[in-house]
Amino acid sequence: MIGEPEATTLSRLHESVRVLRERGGFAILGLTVLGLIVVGAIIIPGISPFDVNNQVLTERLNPPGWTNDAGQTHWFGTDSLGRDVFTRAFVGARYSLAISFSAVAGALLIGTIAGLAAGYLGGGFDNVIMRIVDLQLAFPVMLLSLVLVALLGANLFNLVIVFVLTGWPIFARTIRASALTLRQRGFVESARGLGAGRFRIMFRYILPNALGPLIVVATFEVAKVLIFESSLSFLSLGIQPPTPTWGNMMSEGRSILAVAWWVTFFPGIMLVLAAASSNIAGDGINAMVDPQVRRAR
Amino acid sequence: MNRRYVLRRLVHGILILWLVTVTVFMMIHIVPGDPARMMLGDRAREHDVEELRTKLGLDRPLPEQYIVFASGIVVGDFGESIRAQRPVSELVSTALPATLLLLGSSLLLAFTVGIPLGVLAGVHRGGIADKLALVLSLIGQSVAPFWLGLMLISFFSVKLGILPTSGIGGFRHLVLPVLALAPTAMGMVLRVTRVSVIEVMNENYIRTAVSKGMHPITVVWKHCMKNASIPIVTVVGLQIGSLLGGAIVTETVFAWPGIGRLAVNSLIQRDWPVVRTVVLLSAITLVIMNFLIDMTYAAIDKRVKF
Repeated sequence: MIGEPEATTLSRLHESVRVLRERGGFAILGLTVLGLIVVGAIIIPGISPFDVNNQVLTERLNPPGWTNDAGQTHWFGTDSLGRDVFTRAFVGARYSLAISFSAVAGALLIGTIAGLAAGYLGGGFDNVIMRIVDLQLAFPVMLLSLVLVALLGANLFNLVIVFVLTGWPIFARTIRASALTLRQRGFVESARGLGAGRFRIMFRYILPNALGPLIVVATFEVAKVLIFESSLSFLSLGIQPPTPTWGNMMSEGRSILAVAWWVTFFPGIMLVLAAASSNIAGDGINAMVDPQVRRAR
Repeated sequence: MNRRYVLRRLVHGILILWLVTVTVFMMIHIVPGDPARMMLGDRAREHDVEELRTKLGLDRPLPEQYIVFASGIVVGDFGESIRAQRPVSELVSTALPATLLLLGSSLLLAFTVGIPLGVLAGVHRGGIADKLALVLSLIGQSVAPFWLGLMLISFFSVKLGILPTSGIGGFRHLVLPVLALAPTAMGMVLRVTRVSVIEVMNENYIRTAVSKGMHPITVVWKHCMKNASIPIVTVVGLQIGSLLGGAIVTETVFAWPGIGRLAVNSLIQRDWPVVRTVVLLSAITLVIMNFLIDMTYAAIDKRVKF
């Protein structure tokens, strides 16, 4: 009896490794690229010879790959104040990724608890939660976040709060759907028969079996929030300069697009890369956890 | 169609519409500080703030304010813009055609490219066409429309000088904004088409049609698309909201005089009556849209029973 749970865990692990080997290509590719961007965001600002806000007015608007007299190369060129676009793009990545990851984590947490309780407990509680979800989904997410950020004031904390607020309904819907089917399954009923409490059933029996779709939705949401946050910044309603974000760098680059395309191009291509890699990871994980997609492949 | 389902769905829709009006009304009041002061800025004179407060009715009790707001919605009176000194309804109705033109053209392009590619990918599942189509849809869904717009401007307007950078005018003005906005929707259409085609292709009646010697192309267009089109329209209809989000930024990039740019400019100028109306109207549109989709779905698909 004591050895049994370990054996199950081990065989589960074997199964996961097998699935990962056979169908995990996209998931690994996406997560690797995203991981590289994260690592870059952590270390590049530290090892770069250039300071993020250091203005060198004699070295303004130099093209990508330009090397100054000291032999230092600006890989992504310099902007209209002579700052290094490469360093700024990776400092910007810190903000964009931190906001996106924490907002999705918060939305996942709140959405999971609300949706799990709604799906398992049902009744009036379910009704109230789902009406709130319906109400929120009536508003275009982009417009709602724009207005909320403008009203509350744009700082790191408020941005995360707003994206948690606008993001949780999709998680609530996803897990509620799983909970509705799982609650009638044999193992849940037997657990209930053996006297397991509500919380134990929800978090020990239903949640572990509903994780797959949640993770998939979370990876897609990371991509969405990255784009939303950059859009807000671009509209100068996000984090304010001189703190660099991908969005406000592109906004600054917009006015000098004709003479220095690189100031806009590089932050944007990093955004595309980050969003695409989380979308690929989402697709890949979906292919691993969803038996229907497995068949369709 | 089940009459009880329609009735229940209608009551639900009206409830959500009412909650939408309450939410939009409350938005300005949950923010700490004085709304009138926020709209005019810190440097405004106390006299002006007082005047605006009286003008917007902010000095009245909340329930009274809500009743004025809600009865305004019913008769199409959304108050007056603080900056433009014109009725909000006038500003919105002037901006609406431009947004509809942009959204409509983008959706049209998304469908004309996305559906054939999606069918091709679904029919040749796992083949090269499928993989290329998936990559295309992935890029479409990962590119921020405003960045794509800037890159298009930089190439077609600045470098080649063949298309205008901004503003509204003839067909030439429409090209770049549509090219910037359409890929998001195109990626979505492609994916949904592909999945529905794959699902339908597994159905028995398709196998029957193929085995009785019907030409594959006829099978796809006559049998398959007829059944795959329901989910495509549904999913795209549900995504109108996210398309609207992309339009907000795209309009700003191209100085396109639509609802999105109106919303952003009003937000920056703290012109709350205008912002509130744009939010309200887009939410109302989405709720009505959702209702219509559900109704069509229930009418077409006999399996939907509640």
